[in-house]
Amino acid sequence: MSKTTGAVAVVIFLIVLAFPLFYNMFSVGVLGAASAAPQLKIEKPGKCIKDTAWMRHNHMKLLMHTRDDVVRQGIRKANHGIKGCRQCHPHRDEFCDRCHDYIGVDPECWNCHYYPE
Amino acid sequence: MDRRDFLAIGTVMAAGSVMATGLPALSNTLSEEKETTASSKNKWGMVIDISKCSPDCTACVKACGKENNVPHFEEPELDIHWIRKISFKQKGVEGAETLSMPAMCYHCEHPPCAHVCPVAATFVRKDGIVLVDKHRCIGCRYCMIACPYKARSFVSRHVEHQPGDNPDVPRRMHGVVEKCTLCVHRIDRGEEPACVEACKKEGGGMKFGNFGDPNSEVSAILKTSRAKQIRPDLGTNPRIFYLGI
Amino acid sequence: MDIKFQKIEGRSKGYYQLLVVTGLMAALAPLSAIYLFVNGHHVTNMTNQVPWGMPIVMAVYLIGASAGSMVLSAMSSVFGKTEYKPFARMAALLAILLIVAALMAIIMDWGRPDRILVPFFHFQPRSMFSLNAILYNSYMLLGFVYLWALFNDKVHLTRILGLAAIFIAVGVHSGTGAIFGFVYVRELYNSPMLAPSFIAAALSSGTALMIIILVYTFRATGRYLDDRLIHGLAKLMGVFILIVFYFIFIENVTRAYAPKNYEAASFLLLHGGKYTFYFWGGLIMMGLVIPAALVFSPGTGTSIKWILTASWFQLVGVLFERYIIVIPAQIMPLEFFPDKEINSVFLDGQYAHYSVSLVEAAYSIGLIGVVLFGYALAIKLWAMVPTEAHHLEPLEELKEEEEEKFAELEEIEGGEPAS
Repeated sequence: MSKTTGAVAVVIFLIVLAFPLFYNMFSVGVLGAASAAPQLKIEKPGKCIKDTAWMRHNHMKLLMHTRDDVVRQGIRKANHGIKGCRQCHPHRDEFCDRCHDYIGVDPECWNCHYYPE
Repeated sequence: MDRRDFLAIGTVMAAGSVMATGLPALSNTLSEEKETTASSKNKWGMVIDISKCSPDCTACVKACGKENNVPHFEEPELDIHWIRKISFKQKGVEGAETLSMPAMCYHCEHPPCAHVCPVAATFVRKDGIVLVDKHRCIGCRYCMIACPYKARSFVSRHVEHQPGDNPDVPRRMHGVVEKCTLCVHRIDRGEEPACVEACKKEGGGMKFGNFGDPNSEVSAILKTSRAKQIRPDLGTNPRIFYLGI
Repeated sequence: MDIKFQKIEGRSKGYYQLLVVTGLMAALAPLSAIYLFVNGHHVTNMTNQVPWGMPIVMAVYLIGASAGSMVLSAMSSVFGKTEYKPFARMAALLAILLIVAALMAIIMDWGRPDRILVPFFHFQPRSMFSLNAILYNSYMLLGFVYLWALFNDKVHLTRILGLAAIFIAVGVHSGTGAIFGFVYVRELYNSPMLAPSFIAAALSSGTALMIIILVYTFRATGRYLDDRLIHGLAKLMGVFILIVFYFIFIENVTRAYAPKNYEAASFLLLHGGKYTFYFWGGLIMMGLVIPAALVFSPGTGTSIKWILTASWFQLVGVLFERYIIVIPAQIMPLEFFPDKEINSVFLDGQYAHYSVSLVEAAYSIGLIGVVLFGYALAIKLWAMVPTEAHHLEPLEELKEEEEEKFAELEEIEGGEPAS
């Protein structure tokens, strides 16, 4: 394989690799991706146990921490678990699924835990 | 040969093996002790008087199944049982009477299941309840081999959430091992296990209590020296006692 | 004695056919594993009564063969049996392939193999599985480094690693036996003999595998293999077989002596239906009596054909042995009351049923395919196989060379033409 063929192959590979990026950018308009960001429907607006910015970054850590506390130590802090979330966010498809479907991260919690859609 | 080669290889190998298991395990043990609602002052257990246990009654089984969303596969070999009724009679005796008793996980003080679990998914909570952390269970089934009382079941089929499910108890995905939890979610609320509650309604002989409390009813029964464990010779020291076996 | 290793040519039709066949076999392993994971264990015949089936039998079988191969490989450097030096690389290669297949067998049988990292982060010192996780992984790592050392002719390192390999192989195998031996609840498991008997069977099956692989490899590549090397290995296999027999004898007799074990012992040895047949026909006849008789009797003990036959019987017999260790203990019901019969809808008090399902059979064939395919590929990609394998020990070889030289000199000085 000559050098030019190799170079062309690499360029094609990179284009194919980056295709999803381009598709997303141009299907909603360049830089329009921000407006396609998921909007959460909050049933009961008010005070969550932590502020929104913290929750956005750390809700998974909180849930895992709570999980170990509950399962291993029997510490059940009010509203810190999934049941607590459900008090104000009763429907998964208006809340968790909105962001998770958008970014394609599937937590396997709902295989077992109850969170009605 | 090159001493440097030898040292380098040896160090890499040693470091690799240590880091693979040693450091993460160390980080687990270094985590802080927290204040807990499941304190070691409590030793939850049961005393079951089977003289009141009717062979046809399965109230405890039904209640447990409903409370804990225990799936039913209608396949005896794969079916999951948290609690079941065992009928027994004397060996080698003509016309021996058949007696009945409920059997579930006995929440042993020295549980062989917890000893053999490679990832400590099965563990003993401070108040004596033996639990399976389904988030960690890898489904190797060593605990099932080790349990003397056939208390454990492997979830070999996935069952979706059903409309009548109890929302307090998560359903289990296939690939993990499950068993009686002594209704830990109810105990933590101050209630009794579902089986005991149902049994009491039928006038049966199941009693739940705290062996750590010397004034509890179950402790008083123990003092009569008439309560028996199943297979005490194994040394597992189960927390479920029987009267009348 | 200078051994030259050379990659096999690997361009014949037969070789490509071998690759295709073993490759297809090997493909069965991930296919069956994925099928198992997606559908759940109900597609196998493993139940709540018999939680461990063929996958675990294959796992312990492969671990055994691996430990046996590793000890054979290390024998040349550690025990000074330099006549086995030509096989060191092949044996080490097999040891690695077998432990990799064994680890695959274990992990794919888990209900949640996607949680593969979990055992690395949570160590349970009292669990044999947890200890084995460390042992198997260090053993595998050691295998790779040892093979590297062999390739780079690092003599001193090879000796040290060889010694370490033997220690770890013993640890790995005792650990595997202890998985079952420590289970005090089931009479057919609970035995201090399980760990040593595992090692003995590992050595015998490892030797049998080595004999088969050696003979077929050298035949297929047309390279010279001194028959006496195979005779030596066969005798070694015979000795290991006798040790296995002794351990199994002692274990069963001791168990059967106690009245509380009468039922368990008679189940295995007399009333167990197919399990009794597997014990006497598989373990005793195929695994012990026939191979030992063939190897030790003067008529067949030096015939490559009969040694091969004995090795095949051994290999299959040890598979039966592993089956007998793993399954019957689960078939027997657990006792709630030694003096009472019990029954329940959970099949308490009843003997269980188990037979190998299609998925498990595909899985097992797949694992064997992985080992064979890996071997076939490796001997072409790397110089694993010596160009020729002679039996002479260095000292003997020197002596013979010297004698030949003297004879030549005498003839020349004597004025007679060298013939």
